[in-house]
Amino acid sequence: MFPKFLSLVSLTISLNISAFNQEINENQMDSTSVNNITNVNTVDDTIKFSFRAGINNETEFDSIYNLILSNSNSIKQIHINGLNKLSYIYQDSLNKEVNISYKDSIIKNLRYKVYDSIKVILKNSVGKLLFFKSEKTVKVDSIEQKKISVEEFDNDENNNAEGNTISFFKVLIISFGIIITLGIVFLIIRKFRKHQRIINSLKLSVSSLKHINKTFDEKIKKLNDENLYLKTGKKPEEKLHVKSEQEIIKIKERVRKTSIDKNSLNRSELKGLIIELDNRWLTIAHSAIGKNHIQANPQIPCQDNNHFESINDKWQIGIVCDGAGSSSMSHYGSELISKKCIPNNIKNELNNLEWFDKGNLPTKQEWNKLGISILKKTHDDLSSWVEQKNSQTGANHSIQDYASTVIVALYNSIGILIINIGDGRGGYLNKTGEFKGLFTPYSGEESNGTIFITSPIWSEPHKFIQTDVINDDIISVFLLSDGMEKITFECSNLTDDVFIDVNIPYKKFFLPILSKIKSLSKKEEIKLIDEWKAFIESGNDAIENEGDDKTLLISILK
Amino acid sequence: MSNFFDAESAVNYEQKSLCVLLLDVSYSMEGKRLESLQEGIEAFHREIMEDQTSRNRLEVAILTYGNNVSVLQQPALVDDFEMPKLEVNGSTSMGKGISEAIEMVEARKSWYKMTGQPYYRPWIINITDGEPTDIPDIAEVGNEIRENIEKKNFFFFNVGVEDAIIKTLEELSSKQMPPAKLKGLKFAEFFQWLSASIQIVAASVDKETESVDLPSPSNWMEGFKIN
Repeated sequence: MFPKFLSLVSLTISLNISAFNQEINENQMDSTSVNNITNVNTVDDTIKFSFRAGINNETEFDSIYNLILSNSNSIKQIHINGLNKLSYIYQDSLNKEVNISYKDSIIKNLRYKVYDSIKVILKNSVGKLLFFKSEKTVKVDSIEQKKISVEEFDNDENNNAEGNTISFFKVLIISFGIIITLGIVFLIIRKFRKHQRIINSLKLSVSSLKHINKTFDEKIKKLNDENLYLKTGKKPEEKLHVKSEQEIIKIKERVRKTSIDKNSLNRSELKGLIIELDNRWLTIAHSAIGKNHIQANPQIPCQDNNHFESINDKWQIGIVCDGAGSSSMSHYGSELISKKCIPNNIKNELNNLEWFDKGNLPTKQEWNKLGISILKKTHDDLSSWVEQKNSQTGANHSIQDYASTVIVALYNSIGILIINIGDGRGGYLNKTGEFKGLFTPYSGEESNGTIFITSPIWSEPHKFIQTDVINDDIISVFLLSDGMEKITFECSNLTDDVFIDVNIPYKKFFLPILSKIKSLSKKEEIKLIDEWKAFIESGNDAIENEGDDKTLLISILK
Repeated sequence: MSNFFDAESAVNYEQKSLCVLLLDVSYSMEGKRLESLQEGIEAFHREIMEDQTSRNRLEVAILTYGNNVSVLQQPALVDDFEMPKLEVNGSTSMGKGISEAIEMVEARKSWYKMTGQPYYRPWIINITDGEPTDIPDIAEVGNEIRENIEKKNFFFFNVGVEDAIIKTLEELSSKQMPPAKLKGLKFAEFFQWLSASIQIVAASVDKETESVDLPSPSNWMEGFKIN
């Protein structure tokens, strides 16, 4: 610290001529012109005062000169009375200033000058170490000859070593003061930073503990609620936020959109299905008995039936009927309706209609009228048939014993005309690769409740019979009874406590099937019937274990 | 199983069917009776776990009544819980038990309706070996039960064990579903039949008629005769 400190302090060197050397031979001096050499010792510097009188000959100068030289290391200042005070800056500075050697400078300044007295101030050992107080170097040419009294000379502030002492200590103290202050400030800052760090880390701990606390609170609340319920059966206040209409709609839309995107074909998948179109429709269908029917006691026959055919080379027709489980004769009902009544009535009603003959699509209103009419006729056909059968066999069945749902699809490559009453599903694939539903199945209040062609709906048939005209580029059509719907359609989704039936055919089910059928040659198509039968009966686990009767009709444009 | 067509089945949310087991745990049930019942409900749990459809469809709740009514299990899929241990407890608060069961069914149905999901008609199965000690007016409770059955709010089926008084249980049942007497302590067989029946009823209920063909209960029901 100390040496460092010392280096910060500015340098002042005055040259003191040490008067240690007391060996100056007084005899060498002219006693008339030289006074005593006096030693005055102060705390700091030793003042050698000599040569009170003026010196103007060389001998005297030499003595002075010798004295100076012999003490050259400890000279602090040389005061020449008779000239302006002359200070020599010790060591290098003077040489730099006047560019001559130390010795020569002194010679130059002392020689041939008239002065009354010379005072030499030496540095003491302490003073030697300390450099402070810089004094201007007096240039040789600016020295004026001047006479001042000895007293004035003595009292000159600058001659006082004490003055220097005081300033020397002054500076010491100040420097120490600065250093200590700096040191203290530095230590304070360091401590402050350390405390800041501690505070920050404590803050972090506090916030994480708060978070843990919150989690525990929630857990406790949950356990309390459960406990309360188990003890008293009191339901805890459900934080169940009752959703607004808007929220519900948003959720449904989100789910629907996801399902539609998920079930769209990409380019390459679609490509495989639309290349090299022969424009020939290929249809396969099968109705298989459900597990529950087999296990029932007595066993219930398969109540599903289906039918398909080409009509007048412009139209295809597909029909799926699902007999009511609780109706004893419904297997007859579904068979009759699908294989006889509907095909006949379609042909009768539509033959000679311009749009039908040309293979064009009717308006929705027109088709609605026709669809209801076709079903009504079918109902009446069934009614007469039941009556006939009753009289033949002596049985007393009502038409309800033959209850059945009906799905009819009349289609070609430019559109699909659909009629349905009851449940089951229909779907299609268009040329842009989208799988879409054809209609929404009818379900009553409870799951599995539905309506039949034999139900008392004829006062308001349009409420229960759905018809539609789909105008699109059709590649494939599918019809199914409800036994197959959970396997082949996305129809039951619960997200965020919102239920939605998106009614979209499941791509991963239909695409492999369509691709397979498309890939078969005409020869290979023959075995399709058996393969399809096996598939609907036990194609995978879900199909095999399905309790209800299963029908799936697929028609593809090859 | 043919794999000519490599088709994948869709994954759909299974419609729920709730079965509330309302169990008598009064002092008289202590010992063999309760043990068998415990085995029975554990067998029920296994049956359901083994069937893929039931696992995702059947929600089970368990209420016991003795001195008080305890809810041992809230309506939940069997996947989510293990059958709790039954403990004997005092008298026979069947009245309280019945009203709690009805309340629970209503609460669950209102959740189904709130979410908009279709559901099967819930079941309440009441198993007891004695008489209710907290019903001053049997007819009143009976009427309430029958009313709910009429409105198709739930199915209610009473099963009497050993000392149970069938006459009393008849007053708490509907004509279409009369009480049954358990053969001895054949709980396991009963629960097996129950899980199969719930499935069949779920699959075949339609708007028009009530009649359903259930599997034969002859292996657990006393006095069952085929007409």
